[in-house]
Amino acid sequence: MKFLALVRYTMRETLSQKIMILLFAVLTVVIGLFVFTISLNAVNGVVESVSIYGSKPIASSELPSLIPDTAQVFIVFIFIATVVLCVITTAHVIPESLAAGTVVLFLSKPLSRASILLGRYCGVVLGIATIQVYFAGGLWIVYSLKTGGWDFSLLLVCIPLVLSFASMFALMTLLGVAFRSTGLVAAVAFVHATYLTEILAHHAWSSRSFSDVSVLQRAVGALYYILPQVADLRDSAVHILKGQPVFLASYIVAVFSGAVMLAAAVTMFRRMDF
Amino acid sequence: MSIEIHSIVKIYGKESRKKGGVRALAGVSLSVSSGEIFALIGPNGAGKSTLVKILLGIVHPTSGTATILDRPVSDHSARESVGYLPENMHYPPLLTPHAFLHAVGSLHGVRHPELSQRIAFLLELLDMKKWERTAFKKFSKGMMQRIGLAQALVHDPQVLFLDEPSDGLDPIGRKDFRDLLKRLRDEGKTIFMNSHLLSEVELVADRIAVIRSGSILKTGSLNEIVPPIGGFTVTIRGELPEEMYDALSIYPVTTANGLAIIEVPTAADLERLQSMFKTQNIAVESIVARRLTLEESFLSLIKESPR
Repeated sequence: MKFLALVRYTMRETLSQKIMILLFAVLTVVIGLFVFTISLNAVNGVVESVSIYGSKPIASSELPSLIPDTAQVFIVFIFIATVVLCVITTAHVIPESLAAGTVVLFLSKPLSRASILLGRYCGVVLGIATIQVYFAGGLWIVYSLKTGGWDFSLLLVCIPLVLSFASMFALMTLLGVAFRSTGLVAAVAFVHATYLTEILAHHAWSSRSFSDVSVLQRAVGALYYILPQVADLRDSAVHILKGQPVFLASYIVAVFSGAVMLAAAVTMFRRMDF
Repeated sequence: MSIEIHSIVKIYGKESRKKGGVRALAGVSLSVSSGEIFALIGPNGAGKSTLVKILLGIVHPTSGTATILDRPVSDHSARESVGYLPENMHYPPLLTPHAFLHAVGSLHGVRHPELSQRIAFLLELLDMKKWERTAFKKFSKGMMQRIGLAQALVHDPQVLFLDEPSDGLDPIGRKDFRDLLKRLRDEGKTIFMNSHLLSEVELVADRIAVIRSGSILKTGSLNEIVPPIGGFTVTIRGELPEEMYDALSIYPVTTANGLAIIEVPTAADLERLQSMFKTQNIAVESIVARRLTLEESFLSLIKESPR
């Protein structure tokens, strides 16, 4: 119960930030644009033609070439809006939680140090998940209302979306505990979520035998399995949207690496003096 | 005993001083009884905050043990009946006192409706009711301090730790605060406070410990820490009869606000004066043994002790 109280408090604190309120507003505007600018003509849940902002309708015969690209752009936009932005806006949470005036509030309560750190972690992840589900769910409802077909499998996009942020925030929690610097956490998390994850996702070492690759390539390969696989999860979301098979390995690695990072963060936190 | 501390040592940094560690506490032992206001005083860097932080699990001791209500401080459940007012607490600027106190009470496991009643009671008690829905960013330091005290009391703890509690409070606030501490003590709660404001400590503490360079120099009641320096101050209400002027001329006498204050150097003189007052039917308002202030005693103790 005390743990849940901490999760609730952190979630509330996260969502009450001005930047989060602004993000909610922006995402609501995007959902509104989807309502008013895109006209879908559907028969029995199947899209026959699409018209954007009153333009000439695109016939269903042309849609197969259009939908994959649109889906990719759509998912990249959702990831930028709800993963990259949220990573930056939550970078301060753990370092500030460990600042002198704040950490005493938590440590003086009847909670173990592991509960405190995990409670803060879960609160932030649930807060951001609320935003992500609100946005993805909002778009799904609008799409379903316009087409008349309620395809619940599209909602599965929320899983890679939430998992991406959760695994990123595990990394940020570890960095926050180790360095207690918002700037450093924000910089590393931003670089990883935007660039490093792409490099790691496209590395070629796995296609060769282990003895053929250099030490650097082995290190990059190891990083691929240690760090959050945001790019792979994003691609997985595109596969869900396109109705293609989903590769589960990136989900397993995200959960495993997140758990390892949180365990490392808790171990460090338990030994700290403030 | 509410709080028991046995030979607590804390060395920051490297585990030994020879390797560059800084010794903050050098084997501190103390005990605080239930229903007592205990004050820890000392200069900056004496180890006051470190000791409190060890008791609250914020800092790990290098060696030694401590218990609160018979539970070791390393066990987080020891803090179930503990309230803490830190010196410089950070409050989420966009939260309101009501939301904040609700969250803090929940962290202690207090449930609705008891929690709501407790919050309403504390906000009323600390004169913060009208601000309960105002965001912290609009609060003064004194208001923050009152909310800090409310969060320390929200779960009705048995033991209360206060770090510089009068900081930021105006004279009326300090008086209210002292009254509150006395009331809590009378309810049987144990209060452990750190303060630089020795005049405040003097007015409220039952027992005092003086700490310097991580070692306790002296522990005792106010009378033990600040022993009488000899002589008495006798206060009489009203005018002194003329026939006593000669007898009293050997003592310094001052009059103000309808009171005559006589400084008497010895117990024998006091006895002689008392019999004279009895003969003259003069009512004595008070007789107080002359002593240094806590601040004077503290400074002399610190000066005498080796660093």
